[in-house]
Amino acid sequence: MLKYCLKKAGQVAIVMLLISFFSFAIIDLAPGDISSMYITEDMTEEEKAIVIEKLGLDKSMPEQYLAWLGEALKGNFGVSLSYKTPVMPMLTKRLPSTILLMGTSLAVSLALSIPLGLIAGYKKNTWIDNAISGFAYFGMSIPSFYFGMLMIILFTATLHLLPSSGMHSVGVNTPIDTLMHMIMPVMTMALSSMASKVRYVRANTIGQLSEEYVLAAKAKGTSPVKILFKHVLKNTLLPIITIVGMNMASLVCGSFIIESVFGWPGIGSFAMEAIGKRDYTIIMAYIMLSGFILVMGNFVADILYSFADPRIKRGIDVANGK
Amino acid sequence: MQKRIMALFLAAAMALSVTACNSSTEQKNETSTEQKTETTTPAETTPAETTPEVRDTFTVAISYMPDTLAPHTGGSDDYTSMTRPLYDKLFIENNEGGIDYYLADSLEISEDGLTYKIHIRDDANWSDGTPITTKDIQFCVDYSIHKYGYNRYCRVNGVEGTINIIDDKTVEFILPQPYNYEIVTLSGMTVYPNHVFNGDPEALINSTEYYNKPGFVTSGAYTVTEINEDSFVCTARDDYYRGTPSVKKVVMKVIGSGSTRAIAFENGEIDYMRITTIDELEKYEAQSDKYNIFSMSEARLNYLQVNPFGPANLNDEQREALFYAINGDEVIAGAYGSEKLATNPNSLLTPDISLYNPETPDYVYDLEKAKELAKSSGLEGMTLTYIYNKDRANMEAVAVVLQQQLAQIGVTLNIEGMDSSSFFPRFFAASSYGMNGQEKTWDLGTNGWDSMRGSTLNQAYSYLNQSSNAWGLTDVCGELAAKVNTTTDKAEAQKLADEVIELALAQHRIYPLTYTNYVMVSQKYVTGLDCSPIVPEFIDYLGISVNG
Repeated sequence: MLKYCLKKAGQVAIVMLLISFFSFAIIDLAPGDISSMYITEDMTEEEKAIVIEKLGLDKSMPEQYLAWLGEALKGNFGVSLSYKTPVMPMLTKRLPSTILLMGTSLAVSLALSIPLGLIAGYKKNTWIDNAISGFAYFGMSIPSFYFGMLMIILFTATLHLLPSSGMHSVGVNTPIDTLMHMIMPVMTMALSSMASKVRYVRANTIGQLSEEYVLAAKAKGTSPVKILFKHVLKNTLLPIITIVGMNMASLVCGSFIIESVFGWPGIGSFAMEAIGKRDYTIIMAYIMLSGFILVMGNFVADILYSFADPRIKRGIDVANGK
Repeated sequence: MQKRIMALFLAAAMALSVTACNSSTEQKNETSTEQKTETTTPAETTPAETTPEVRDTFTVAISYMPDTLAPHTGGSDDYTSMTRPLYDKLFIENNEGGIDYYLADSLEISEDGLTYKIHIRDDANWSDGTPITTKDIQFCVDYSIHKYGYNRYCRVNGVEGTINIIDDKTVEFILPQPYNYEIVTLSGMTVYPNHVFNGDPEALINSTEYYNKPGFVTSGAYTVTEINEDSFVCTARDDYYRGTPSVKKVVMKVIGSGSTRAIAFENGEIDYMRITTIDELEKYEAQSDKYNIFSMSEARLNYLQVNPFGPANLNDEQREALFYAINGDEVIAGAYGSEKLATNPNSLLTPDISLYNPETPDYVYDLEKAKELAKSSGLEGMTLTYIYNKDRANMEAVAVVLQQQLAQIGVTLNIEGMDSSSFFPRFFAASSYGMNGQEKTWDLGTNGWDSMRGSTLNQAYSYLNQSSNAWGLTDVCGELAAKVNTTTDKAEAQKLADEVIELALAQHRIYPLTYTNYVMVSQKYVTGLDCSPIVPEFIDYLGISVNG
C-alpha cells in the first residue's frame, strides 16, 4: 500500500507540473495582459516601459514561467499584479466561504441523492422511479445560473423570504443569517450535482438488487428497508466515492457562476475578477489549487475504494508482490 | 396513467418556470412597493405608526469585494466609486468648466501658465484629527518618484518641473513649459497621509494590511468601521471639514450579476442602481411614485475609429463613404432608444468642456452619396473587422446598428466583442503598446473617452497629438493641439481648438458616435444623487439624503 501511495504521489507531482506549464502558456497566449490597467495613451514610451518592466511583462514566457515555478516550489505564489499583495493570503481569506458553500451543497446533494437513488432503484419502472428520474433529468438539464435566477425571482422578488445576494446582512453576524443567505446557492448547487448521483445510485441499486445475497436476505424475511439501507447501500457507494473525489476540486474552488449570480464572496468570484484583469499570479494560484485538489481527490478516492471494497486493497497488495 | 402523471408534472414545472420569468418582476414590483409604502406612506398606516421612519443608511451595490481600500491602488471606475466616501480630491473640474474645491480652497495659475499654486483649506484634516498639509502633498510626489522614477504631477513632454513648498498649507507646482492639462493632472491627485507612513513610500506600497482593517485614516467624509467578507461600512465623520453628512452610514455590498442587482434594488436591498437601456428607463419612469430617476451627463464621448494600420487600409474616399453611410440619430434610436440615455455628438469635445463649440460642423448622413462613393472607391463588397469593448454599456448594440447601416452600401462588418483586457492592447496597439502586431487585426473600432470635462482638450489632446501616427491624422493636428494646451489666452485657445477639431474631423478618421448620459434609479426616499454630477459617482456625499 505504501509503495502504491508513493507511486501515486509521483504521478501527482508530474501532473501538477504539466498543469502549471500548460496553464501558464494558455494565460500567456490569451489576448491582452494586465498592463492595460496601468498604461494610458498620454504616457511617454519611457513611462510605459517602466510599467511593463515593473509588472515583469518584459520577459519571455519561459522566463516568466521559470521565475514563477521557482518561487511556487518554495510555496510563494507571488504578488497579485493588480492588488500588489501576496496571492496566497488573498485566496486563503476567501477559502472558508467557498468551502462552507460547496461543502454544504455537497452534503445536501449526498443526503438527498443516496436515498432517492435507492428508492428509485428499488421501485424500478414505477411512477416513483419515473418521478425521481424526471427530477434528476430536470436537475441535469437546467443551467444552474438560470435555476439560480428562478430561485431569486421566487424567493426574493416574489415571496420576500430570502436575501438575493451575499453571505451576511450588514451588521448581522449570526449563523441563522448566514444560513438564510446560503439556502438559494446551496440548493442551486445541490440540484445540479445530485442529479448525476441519483442516476448512479439508482443504476447500482438495480444491479445489487439482483444479487444473490439480496435474495438470501429476502428468503430470511429481512425487511425491504433493512435490505436497502443496510446491505445494498454499502455496495452502491463505490461510484459515489469516485464522484465525490472528482468533486473535491469544486468543493474548494467553488463555482464561478453560482458565486457570481449570488454575490458569494468566495474564490470562484475572486478568480473571475482576476481572469478579467489577466492577473496571472492569482489565476495560476487558483489553477494550481484546483488542480492539486482534483488530483488529490482522485487519489483519496482510490484509497477510500480499498476501504469500501477490501477486494481492491487485496488487488493492490497482490500487484505489489505482497 | 403513470405516463400521464409524469407528463402533467413536467408540464406544470415548465409552466411555473416560464411564468416566473415573465411575470415575477412585475408581481415583485407590486409587492415590493406595497411593502415599501407601508413604511414610507403614513396615510396607509395606523395612527400609532405614523412617525416617519428616519433613515440614515445608504446602501450601494458593488461588483466585487476589494482586497484593500488603499488610496493608491485600484484605478477602475468601480474602485473609484467605492472609495469616493473615503478620499477627497484637492479639487475637481466640474461640468461647467469651473472648479469645485474639496481639500484645497484655491488654485492660482500664473499668467505665464507655468506656476500652479494650491492652497489647502485651513480646516482640512485627516480622520484621526491630523491636519492635512503640504507634507502630504510632498508625500504624494515622493511616492510618484519612488514608483515611476519621476514626479508625475509636474512633468511636461518628458521634462520634469519642480515642487515648491511655501508653507504648511501652500504649495506650488512649477512646470518647465505651459501645459493647460496640468489642471487635469492635479485634480486627479489623491492625497496620502504622510504621518501614517512617516513619509516612506515603500511603507505605503506595503500598506495592504493597514487598509483592509477598519479605522484607517481617511480624508473624505467617512471612515470605514466594518469590513466583512461581502461588504464594508463607511460611517460619517463628526469632524469632517466640510460638515457632517446627513447619510450616517454608507454600506457597500457585493451584489451578484446585472439581473440579481435589479431584483435586489426592487426588493429594497440597495438604494440605487445605474440603468442603461430604454426598457429599464421606461419601466422605472412609469413607477415614479416609487422611484426617482437621476440623469446627468457622463462627460463621455464614444467614437468610431478607422484604423490606419487595418488590413483593409481604407483610403480617403472609402472613409468618406463610410461616414456618409452612418446615421447618427439612428444609432441613438437603435442602440439607446432615447436621447435621455445618449445624444448625437458634433465634436471631439463634450459639451462639458469649456472649449466645446456647438457650431462645429457635424458629419452629414447621405446614403445615396455613400453608395456612390462606395462604388467608385471600391469599398462596396469589402469585409471589415470591427472591434468593441463589451464591458462598456450599449457598445454591442451600437455595433449591430452600424453593421446594418454599412450593409446598405455593400460593406460587411465582422464584429468582435471582447473584454477590456483584450480590447485595449488591440485598439491601442499603435498608440500605447509599441505596435504589438494587433494594430493590423482590425479596421474599425469603437472606444470612449470619459471624464471629458473642464477647460482643456482633455483626452482629445492625447488623441490629436498622437504618438507613432497611431490614428492616421496629419502632424498639423498634433501641433495645433499642443498650442491649445500651451496658450494662456482663452480666446486664442478656443480658436485653436475649433481649428484642430475641424481639421481632425475633415480627415474622416474618427466619427463621434454618442455623448452618453449617466442615468440612475433610486428608491423614492433617496435624493441628491445628481448634486455633483461627476462620474464615477458620487464625489460629494454631503448632498445625498435618504429621507426624501
